Amino acid sequence: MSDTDDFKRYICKVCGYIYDEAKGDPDSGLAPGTRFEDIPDDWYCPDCNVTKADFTALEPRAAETDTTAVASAWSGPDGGNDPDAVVIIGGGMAGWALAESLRERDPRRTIRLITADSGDYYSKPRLSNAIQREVVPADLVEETGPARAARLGIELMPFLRVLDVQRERKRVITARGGIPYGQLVLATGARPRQMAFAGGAEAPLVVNHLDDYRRLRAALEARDTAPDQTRVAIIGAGLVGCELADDLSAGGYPVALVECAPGPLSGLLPPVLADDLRTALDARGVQWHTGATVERIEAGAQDSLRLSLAGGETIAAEVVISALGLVPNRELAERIGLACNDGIEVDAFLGTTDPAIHALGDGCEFDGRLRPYVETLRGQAAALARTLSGEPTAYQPDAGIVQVKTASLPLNVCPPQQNDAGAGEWVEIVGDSAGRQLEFHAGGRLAGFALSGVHARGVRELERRLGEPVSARDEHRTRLAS
Amino acid sequence: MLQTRTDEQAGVSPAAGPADADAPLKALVERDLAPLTARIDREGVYPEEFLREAGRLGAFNRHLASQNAMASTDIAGAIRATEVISAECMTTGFVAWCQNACAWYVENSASEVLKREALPKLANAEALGATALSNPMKWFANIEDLKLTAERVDGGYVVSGALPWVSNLGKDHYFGAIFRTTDGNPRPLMALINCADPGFTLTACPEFTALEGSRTFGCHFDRVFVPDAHILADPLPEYIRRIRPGFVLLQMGMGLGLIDGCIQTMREANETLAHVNGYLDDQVGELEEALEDARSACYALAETPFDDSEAFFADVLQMRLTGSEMSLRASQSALLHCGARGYKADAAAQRKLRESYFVAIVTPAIKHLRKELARIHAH
Repeated sequence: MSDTDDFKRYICKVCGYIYDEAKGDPDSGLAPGTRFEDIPDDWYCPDCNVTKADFTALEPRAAETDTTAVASAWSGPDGGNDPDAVVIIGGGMAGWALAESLRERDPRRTIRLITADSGDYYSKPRLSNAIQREVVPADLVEETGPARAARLGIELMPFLRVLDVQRERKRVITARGGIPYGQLVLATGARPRQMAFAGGAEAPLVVNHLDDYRRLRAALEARDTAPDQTRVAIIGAGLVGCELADDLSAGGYPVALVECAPGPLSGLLPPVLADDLRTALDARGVQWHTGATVERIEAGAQDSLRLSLAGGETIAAEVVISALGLVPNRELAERIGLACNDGIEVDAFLGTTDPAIHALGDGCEFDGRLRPYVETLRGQAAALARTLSGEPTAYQPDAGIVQVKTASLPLNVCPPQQNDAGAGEWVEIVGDSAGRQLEFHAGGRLAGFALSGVHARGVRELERRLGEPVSARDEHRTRLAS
Repeated sequence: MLQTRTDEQAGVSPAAGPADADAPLKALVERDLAPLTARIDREGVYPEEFLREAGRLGAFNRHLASQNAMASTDIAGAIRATEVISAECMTTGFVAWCQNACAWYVENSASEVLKREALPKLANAEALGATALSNPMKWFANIEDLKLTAERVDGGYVVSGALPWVSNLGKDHYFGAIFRTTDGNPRPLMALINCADPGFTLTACPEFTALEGSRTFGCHFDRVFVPDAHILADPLPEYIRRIRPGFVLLQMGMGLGLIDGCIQTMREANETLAHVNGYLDDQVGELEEALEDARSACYALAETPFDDSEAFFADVLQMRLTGSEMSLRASQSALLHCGARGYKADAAAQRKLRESYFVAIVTPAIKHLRKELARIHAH
C-alpha cells in the first residue's frame, strides 16, 4: 500500500501525455511500477515522440471559472422562438423604460432585450454628480440586468451585438444566432462625439456609459494622492462638460474647462445665466478657457498630458475628458435601409420607414429634432408601449426642459421653440442672490423659461404656464438682450 | 429546396453571386473529392491533387488582396470556398483552412521576401502551408506555455522545441510558428518555417478518430535556423491583433459547410424516413434557418476583418462558438435522421458526427472560447 501511495505522475509538456509510474508504459517495455528516473533516456513519448527531458512532474491545476461571467457569456437564446416577440435593441434607459412600460400593459408578450453590455440598470444623469454624492461606480447600478429582467419577466440577451437585421425574414442577426421578431425597437442611443487630436496622446476619456465612468474614476484615483494632485482638463462646456466640472471641482480636483464658444452652454442659456454659471464655477476654482480650441494633446512632464490651445496657451493635466456632444447611433438603421437624417427618422408613432420597426431615445429624430433627454425617452417609452400593445398612440413631445445638475448653480431651462425664438425676448422676472427666473415672451405668451438657483425648483409651475398669456405686469420687467 | 434557395441568392446579383463564384469549385468537389472522402477519413489519404487543382481555380486566394484579381480581402468568399469543400469532406475543408491561414500570415506580414517568394505559391496551392498557432493561441489565453524557444544568432534565430500535432504538413510545406526569444529582450516572434529547413523533423502521430488525411505530424525543432527575412512580425502583439479575426473567421467555413452537409444528409434520409423523422429535434427547416442566420452573421463580421477592437473580436469568438455548438447539433440530428444506415462504417452521417467534434475541439475549442468570452465580459 505504501509503495503505490507514492507513485508519481509526469506530464509531457508538448502533448499532455501523462506517464503514471503505477501503470508504466508496457507498449514501450516499461513495466507497471517503473519509476520515472529509471526510464531509459532513449524512451519516447508514445504520443508525440519527444524524450523524457520534455516531461515534468504533474501538478494538477486548480479549477478557475467565474461562473457568473461564464453564464452570461454563453447562455444563448433559450430556444424560445416566438415570431411575435417584441425585440428591443439597446439596454440603456430607453430600452429598459420601454420594456417596463410594455410589460405593465401586456403581461404575456415575449419581450427580449439585446444589449452589448451587461444590461445592468443605472441612471445616466447620476454619472454627473456621483463624486459630490460620494457614490462609487459599483453603487450606481440600481439593479443588475438579470435581476431586472427576472422582475419584469423579459428575456435579457447581454454582451450581444447586433450585426444585421434581415427585414424580409424578420430576424435579428447576431454572432449567437438569429432572433425572430414580430416588432423590433431600436433603442440604440447615442455616443460621444470623438475628435482626433494631434500630438500622439491616447484619446481623451468620455463619459456616456457606466463603463466609461468606471474608467474615469479609475484614472482619477490612479495616483495615490489627494485629489488636488490630479488636474483635470475638460474639453467642451456643454451639459456634460459643465456638470462634470462642477462635480469634479467639488470633489477637490483642479479643473480646466476649454470651450470654443464665448461661454458655457451657449445656444441653450441666455447670456446672463451663462455668466452666472461661469461665476459659480469660478468660485469652485474652475479655470476657464473660453473661445479656445485644443490643437494638440501630448505627453508632458511626469506622467501628465499637455494640451496646446490654438492661441498658444498650454494646459497641463493628468486626466483629459472630452465632452463635445452626442452623435446618434444610426449605423444599424442605415445598414438595413431605414430613413435616417442626423438620427433615425421616426413618425408621430415613433415608427421608422419599416412598419415592423420603431425607434426611441437618443438615437431617433422626432419632428426633425434630436432630443437626448431622459424626460423625452420616458414619454416615448410610454407612448410606444401603448402602440405596441395594440393602442396606436402618437408621442406628444414634452416641452424640452433641460435640467443642468450643476450643484453650484442648478438650472432648469426650457428653450423657446425655433419658430418662437426669433419673435420674442427674454424677460427677467426675478433676479437676486438666490438665482433668477427668466421668461421668454413671444406674442404676449410664455414661450420658454430659464431658472437658476432656488428658482430652478419652480420648473413644474412654469411648465404648466407654457403657452399662456403673460401678465401685463410681467411684460414690463427687465428685458434682456438674447 | 436548398437548391432553390441558392438559386434565389444567385438571382440577387446574377453576375457575382456566391453560387456562381463557387460553381467551378462545386463541380471539382463532386468530380474529384467526393469519390475519395471515405478513404481520406478512414485510410489517411491526403487530398493533394484536389488541393492543387482547387488552388488553380482560385479557392485559396480570395482573402488575399495582393493575390486576387479583385484586389480585395474577401474573407466571406474564402469562407464560402471552405464551406463548399467541408460540406463534402471536412478533413479537406480543414486543410483548406490551414492553407488559407498560412497565406494570411504572409499577406499581413512585414516580410517582403516571403511575400515575393512564398505568397504567390501559397495563393494558388503550388506550395502547401499550415498553421502551427494552436499552442500560441492557448498561450495568449493563459492556457499553456509557449513550446518553442529561439536564440539570437548572426542574421536570424535558431529555434528549438517541439509542437505536438500540426496539420497539412509535408516535406516542403510551409507553416507559421511562434517562439519566444531568449536574448536580452525576451519576446515572442512569429516566422514562416519550411519543413525542409535543416534541423526540422516530422514525426508520426497517434491515430486520431477522424481527419486522418490531414497530414498531421509532430514537429521537432533542433536548432532550426530562421533568417531575419522569414520573420513575419516583430513586435508581435500588433500583428496578432491584425491577423486574429481573419484567422478565426476563416475557420467558420468548416462548421458552416459541415452543417450544410448534415442538412443534405437529413434531406436524403427524409426521402424514405420523413414519416418518423418528424419526431426528432432539430428538423431540416430549423437547421436551415439557423444556418442562414449564422452565415449572415459570419459574412457581416467578415466585412471588417481588420477591426482590432476587443468588442469585435468578442463577436468573432462568439461566432466561432456558435458554429461549434450548431455543428454538434446538426451532426447529431443527421445521424439520428439516418438511423442504422447512418451508423455504417462508411456512412456520411457518422463521419460528420466525428468531424463535428473536431470543429468543437480544434483551437479555439469550445472551452477555450468560453474562457476567453468570460474574461472579456467580466468587469
